[in-house]
Amino acid sequence: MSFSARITLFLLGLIFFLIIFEMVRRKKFREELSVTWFIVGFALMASSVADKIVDPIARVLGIGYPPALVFVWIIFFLVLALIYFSYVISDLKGKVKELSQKIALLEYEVDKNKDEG
Amino acid sequence: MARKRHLIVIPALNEEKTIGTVIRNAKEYAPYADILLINDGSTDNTAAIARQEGVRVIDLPFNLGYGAALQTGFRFAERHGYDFVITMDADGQHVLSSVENLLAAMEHEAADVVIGSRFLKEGYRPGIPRAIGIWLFSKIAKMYTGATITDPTSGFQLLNRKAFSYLSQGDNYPLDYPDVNIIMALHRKKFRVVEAPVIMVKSPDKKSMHSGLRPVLYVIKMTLAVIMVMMGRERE
Repeated sequence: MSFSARITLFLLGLIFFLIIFEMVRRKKFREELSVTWFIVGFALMASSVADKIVDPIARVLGIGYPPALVFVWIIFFLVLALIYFSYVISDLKGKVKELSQKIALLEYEVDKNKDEG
Repeated sequence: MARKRHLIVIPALNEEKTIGTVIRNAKEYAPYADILLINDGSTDNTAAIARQEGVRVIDLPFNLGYGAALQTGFRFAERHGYDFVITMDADGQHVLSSVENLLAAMEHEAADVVIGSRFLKEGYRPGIPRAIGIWLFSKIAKMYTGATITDPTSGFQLLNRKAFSYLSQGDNYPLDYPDVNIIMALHRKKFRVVEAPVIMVKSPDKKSMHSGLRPVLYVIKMTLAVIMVMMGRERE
C-alpha cells in the first residue's frame, strides 16, 4: 500500500471518528449505541496499516487473497450491529406498546371523570 | 352471589361500515354485557359511531396491531373487575347469537378459555391457503395440548378472569395476530382451553389477511412461534 493511500485511509477514519464523537457530545444519540460506531471509526483508522496485520493472519489461515479476510470481518461486524439494532427495536416496540396502552386506558378514565365531575 | 360481569371487547380498525351493526347486534344478544370498543388508530368514523351507540371507547394513540388492541381490552377488564371477557371482531363476521354456546361450554367443561369455532358447524368455507394453515397448526396444537382446536385464529372467544389477567401482562400476548402459539402457551400455564361452535359469515368486502405471499410468511412465522413455545422459553 502506498504511503498516500495510508494517509487517506487514516484521515477518513479520523473524520468518521470525530463526527461520532461530536454527535455523542451533543447528545444526538446515546453513548451505549455509539460504542459500535467508535469501534468502526477505530477500525477505519487502523485499516491504514491493515495489510501489516491482515496479511500474516491471512497467510496463517491459508487465505490466498488477504483482502477477502477484511471483507469477512467487516460483514461479520455489520451483521452483529444489525442484530443489536433489531434487539433495540424489539425492546422499544414492546415499550411503546405498553405506554400506548397505559395512555389509552388513562385517557379513558380522565374523560370519564370529566364527564361525571 | 353477585351477578357476574361480562365485557365484550371489540378491537376495530377502520370498520365504520360494519361497527354500528356489530354493536347493535351485541347489545341485542348479550344485553347483560358491557361493550368496549378498542379503536386501534382508525382514520374513519369508527370511534364516533361507537360513541353514538353509547358504548365505552378506548382510543389507542396509533395503530398497534390486533393483539395489542385486544390486550388493551384485557387490561381494562382487569382494572375494572370484570369476570368474563368476550372478544369479537368488528367486521361483522361474528354473529353474537352464538355467545350462549361459548358460555355454556365454559360452564360445562370448566374451561378458562372457550374459542368460537366456525368449523364445528357448517356454513363457513375458508380460502385454500388459510385452510391449509389452520389444518396444520390445529394438528400441532392437538399433539401438544391433546385438545381439538379446529379454529385457532378465531377472534371470537370467551375468557375468564384468570385467563385474561394472565394475557393482559406484558409480553404474554402478541402485538399482531394471536394464534395456536397462544393456545399452547395457555395450555402450558395450565389453563383449560376448549372450543365451541359458533356461526360466522365471511366478511363481504374485505380482503383476507391470508392472501398473496402472506400464507407462506404466516406459516414460517407460526412455525417459529410454535417451536419457541415448545422449547419452553419463559419470561418470568
